[in-house]
Amino acid sequence: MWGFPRETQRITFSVLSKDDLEAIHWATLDVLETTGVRIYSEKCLKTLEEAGCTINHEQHSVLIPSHLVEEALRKCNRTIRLCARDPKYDANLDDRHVYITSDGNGTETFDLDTGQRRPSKKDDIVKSAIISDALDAVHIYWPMVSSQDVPSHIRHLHDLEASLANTEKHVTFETTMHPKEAQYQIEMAATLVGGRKELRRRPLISSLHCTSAPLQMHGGCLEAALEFAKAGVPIMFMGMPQLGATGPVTLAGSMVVSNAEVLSCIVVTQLTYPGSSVVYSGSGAAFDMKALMRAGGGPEHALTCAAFGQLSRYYGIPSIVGGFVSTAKRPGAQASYEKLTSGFPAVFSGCDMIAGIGLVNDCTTLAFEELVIDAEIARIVFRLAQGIEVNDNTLALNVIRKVGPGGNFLAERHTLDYLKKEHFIPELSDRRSYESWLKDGAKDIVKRAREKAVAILHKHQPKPLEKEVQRELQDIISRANSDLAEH
Amino acid sequence: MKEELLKSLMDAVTGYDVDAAVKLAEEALRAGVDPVDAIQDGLAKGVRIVGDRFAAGEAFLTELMIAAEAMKQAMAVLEPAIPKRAKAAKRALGKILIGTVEGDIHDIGKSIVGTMLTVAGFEVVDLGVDVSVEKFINKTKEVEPDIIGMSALMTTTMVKMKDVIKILDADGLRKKVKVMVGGAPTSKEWAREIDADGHGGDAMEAVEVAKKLIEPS
Repeated sequence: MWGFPRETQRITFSVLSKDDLEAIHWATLDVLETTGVRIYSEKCLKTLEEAGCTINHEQHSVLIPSHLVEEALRKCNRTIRLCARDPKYDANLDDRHVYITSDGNGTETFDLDTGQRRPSKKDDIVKSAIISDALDAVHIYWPMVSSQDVPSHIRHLHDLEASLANTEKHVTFETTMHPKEAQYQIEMAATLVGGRKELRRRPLISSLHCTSAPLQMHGGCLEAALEFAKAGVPIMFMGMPQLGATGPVTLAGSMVVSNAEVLSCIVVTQLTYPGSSVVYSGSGAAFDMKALMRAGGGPEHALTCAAFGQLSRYYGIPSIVGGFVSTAKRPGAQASYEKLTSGFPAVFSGCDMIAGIGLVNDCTTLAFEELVIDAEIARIVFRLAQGIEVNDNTLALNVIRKVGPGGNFLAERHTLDYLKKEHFIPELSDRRSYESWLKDGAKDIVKRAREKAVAILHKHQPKPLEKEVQRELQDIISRANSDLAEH
Repeated sequence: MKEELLKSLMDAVTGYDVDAAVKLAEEALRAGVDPVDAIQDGLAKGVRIVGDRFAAGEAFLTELMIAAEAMKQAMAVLEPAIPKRAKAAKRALGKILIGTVEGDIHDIGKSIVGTMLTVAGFEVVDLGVDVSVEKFINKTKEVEPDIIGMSALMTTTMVKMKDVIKILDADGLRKKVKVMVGGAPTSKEWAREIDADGHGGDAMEAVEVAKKLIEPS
């Protein structure tokens, strides 16, 4: 089965107790009933009004009674399959696997040839999709940057085209801000599987929609989500309050704000299309009061993301959270320690999807080197989570007896049989002797990672789309070019 | 039949199957295969393949060690059947005597180097650990190696290397035998200081150094 299997995970991590989870849930219901949220969509407000919510149309605000929230949570699809061009890459969000998702939609790229930072291009998506396709630790591809070298009104369609064409893994994205744009994206994905009916059965794409903290939701963004839900494409709602700025400074308080935003969107979705597939997401990164920046690589974000994973399990809904995130400006020491510390809690707490690898500067800048480094970090974390297996075979009494004092275990069958099961086998880390390292040019890890990225691009070639499918995707984009230009 | 057996011997080694290698060696003798061929064109060929895999980063040390162990155990079956004359003509890259110096019982680094040298085509005589100065000298006289390799893991024991070299010099043996040293506390500087001929920073380098030392100067 694709993904990191939780059945091999011995070490788990609970950030919150059951009582804590209930307290956050009750506090959220209180906010939704008494403070309410703003939803900038008349269509959605009308749906909520008909269901019994109190609406203030002038303020675009809504108070949502608890029973509607509880009902909506019960209606959510329990297990979600994120399908891939190649079915062996299908991701089952079934609470038994952890999937690593490349991080999405930066706006800057460290050019692989020049090393210089520059605005992102469509070719960056092509390259990062190919590398993600090759890396075993990347399970789901999220277009890592925006194609800023194409017109903005069809940019996200180009993003999707470059993604679908260059990886056979599932593609998720987060940029859709208009239902009409969603329709074109749905049409593109349907082209690959042979129609909309088949897309409902095998959703090759999923779409993440961010709320606007505190307690607001963009109308076009939510209506686009509904368009996807209508087509049977899994959607994800993510709250992103910044602790102390767009959410309370306390972790629990910002969790309540994020949760209220996400639950209000889930209510709208389940009232409109009952039983649709929604993936739960939340985050709570600190707002750094000196740097005036979001601190996605900080411990607060790591803790809240792991806690949101727990909360989603409490709700019985799959989760996607941030992890392996860093605010470091480029790959290096800070990036590595922030990526590790922000990634392992989400894995240990068993979140279904974890997004963050490959970008730096708080999810805004693509570094191909970082993608390769983060895949290695993720593999290390998986190994940590597996812990230590203790049984007759692993206690190894037979081989201990055979080797005895003063011998060695290198030439023993037991060593060969268990090596790959028990040991993390590095694919990037340099563990050679000082002499070998020196002889090989004394390269640091970033240089090694760049070489690996370049090597992958030279030799890895994902299965191309059929010629006819490629043509149809081009047709859809050119139709959208004239249609979407108007708004 | 002979070709098949040679290939099976090679496959047993590349498949890390010690028991199969031993059984096939016995079978080869029964079938009248020349034991020198069985070693050179069967076992050694297999070990070289695994050695190449290891050098390319495709195989693990444990695989290399098991392959070498398969060869060693199968050779124990084959060697007694080799006629004396052929034995003398047996082509090895060179003979090397290795051991961990007196007072030091660290075995693993020295053993890994031994395996690597075997894989590279050297005939390796391993004296084990805690090898006294006298034993190094006496064995040198007895087996007449091309190279002596000394290993130490501690700064307190590495000084013994110097003692061995001094006596080799005094006994006039240095003309016939080169000395190389290795182990965590040793360095190129240390090797120079004690007048050794070579130093290996790791097992791979040790093989390179050994190959250089036996090149006719």
